[in-house]
Amino acid sequence: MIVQADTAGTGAPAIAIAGLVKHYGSHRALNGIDLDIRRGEKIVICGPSGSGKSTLIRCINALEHHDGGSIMVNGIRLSADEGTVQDIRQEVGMVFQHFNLFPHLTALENCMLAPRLNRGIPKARAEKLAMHYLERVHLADHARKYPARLSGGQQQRVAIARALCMEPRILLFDEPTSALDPEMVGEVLGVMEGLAISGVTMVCVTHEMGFARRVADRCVFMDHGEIVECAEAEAFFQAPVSLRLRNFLAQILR
Amino acid sequence: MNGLPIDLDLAWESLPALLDGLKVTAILTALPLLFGLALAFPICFARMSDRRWLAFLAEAFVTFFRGAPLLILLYLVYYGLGQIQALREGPFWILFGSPFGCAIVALSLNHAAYMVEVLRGSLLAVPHGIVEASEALGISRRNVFIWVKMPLAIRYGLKAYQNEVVSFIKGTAIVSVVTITDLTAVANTIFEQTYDPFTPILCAAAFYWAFVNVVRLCFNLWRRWLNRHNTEDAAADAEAPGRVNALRPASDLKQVMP
Repeated sequence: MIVQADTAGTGAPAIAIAGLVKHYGSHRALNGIDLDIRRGEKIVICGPSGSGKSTLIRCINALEHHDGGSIMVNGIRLSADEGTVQDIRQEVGMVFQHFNLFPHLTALENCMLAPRLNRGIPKARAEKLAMHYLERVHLADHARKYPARLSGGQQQRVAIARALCMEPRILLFDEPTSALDPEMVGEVLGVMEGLAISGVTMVCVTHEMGFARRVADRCVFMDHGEIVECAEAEAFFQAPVSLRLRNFLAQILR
Repeated sequence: MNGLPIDLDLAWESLPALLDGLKVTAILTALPLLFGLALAFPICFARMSDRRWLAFLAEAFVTFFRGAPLLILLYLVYYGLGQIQALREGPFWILFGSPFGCAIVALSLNHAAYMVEVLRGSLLAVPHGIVEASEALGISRRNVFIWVKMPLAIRYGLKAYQNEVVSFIKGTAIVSVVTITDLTAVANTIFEQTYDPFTPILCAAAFYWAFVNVVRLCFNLWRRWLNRHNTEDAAADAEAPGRVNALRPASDLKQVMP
């Protein structure tokens, strides 16, 4: 409940990243990242593969441990301490490229697990909560199905509902549509656009530039572990400054 | 003799004794399976620990008890430990003083060593992404283990576990060398009394076969229950085949109909 005390404060950023460094062996995956994300802001991060964009958002909820610099999430400074990590993860939901649903649980049970285990919510209430969010991703009819019986787009929407059930203030998306068949991309992006309106802070690694244009407040372009350009969506696409971003956009918008 | 190698009258007469032997075999299976599994968990955690010395100790345990032939292990426990005077005078003599206790100890250690590896393999088979997803939801490590890792590991390891249990059941026949009258020992006694080699041995074999198959059927039921997440909707589809194409993408159908 540290977090509640903090949100009463003034416009402190939802996420404040300063001088973030991450190594994989001798490879420098993140090379001094500075980024402040305001509450309710929608950020899209793009860049060529290996540029460090996934690593960056995985550092935010400590799925990767950073080697230098600092990350503040809702005013809590991220450290290696297990309790702190746990506190931050309660506030930060994440959606993965490969959905990562629990295959042995139904869609409904997937959504119920974390609220029940983390908050000790009784079964009936957890079920109501889960159904609420499954309805929100338009999957109430599929609540009793196991993930193996759902399409990729449906699985990803369950994964979004699962993250929402913890009622996080911040949502991280790690290439949520990259593993989907093209015809299913739309349904997932549609749900994400709906979320964007709700006021949750969103950080989304994606190559869906149409989505970025419609939803993002700011876009971030990364290359070689650095932020090359960070601008409001309109400027980002209309007037890219760096040559690297111009080349990247030319490639991706072809 | 009536042309059959089996003397039906003798078989019938031997039935009660053989059933008693089967009972002993069943107990000598059940208890070590229980103790061995209970022992395997902490050793498996040690084996997977980041602490080098702990992992090394666990690995040494596995290497030793998996490498030692069960018969040698049984001799060591039954005859060897009895040589230690301190043990003979200590409270554990209740256990090590009886052939039954020794057999339980030796079988449990042997089973534990195999189960450590079965368990470890199953836990390592749990996809990393699923564990990450649980962690990202803020679920504690303990709960991730209980509610995500273990349920999936059981599914991945069930076949290997079944193999180990089946070969373990047959392996218990070795306890007759330390004077325990299990199924094999009973059959052997009847053979020595009647000089009929076929009837008692074949009857015992039939009992073993039945026992192993009951275990196999139990495993099948267990597996079917665990895998309901892959089969349940398939059954529903079979009831209403007309719906299938309308509701399921083609990629899903392949899973339903291999």
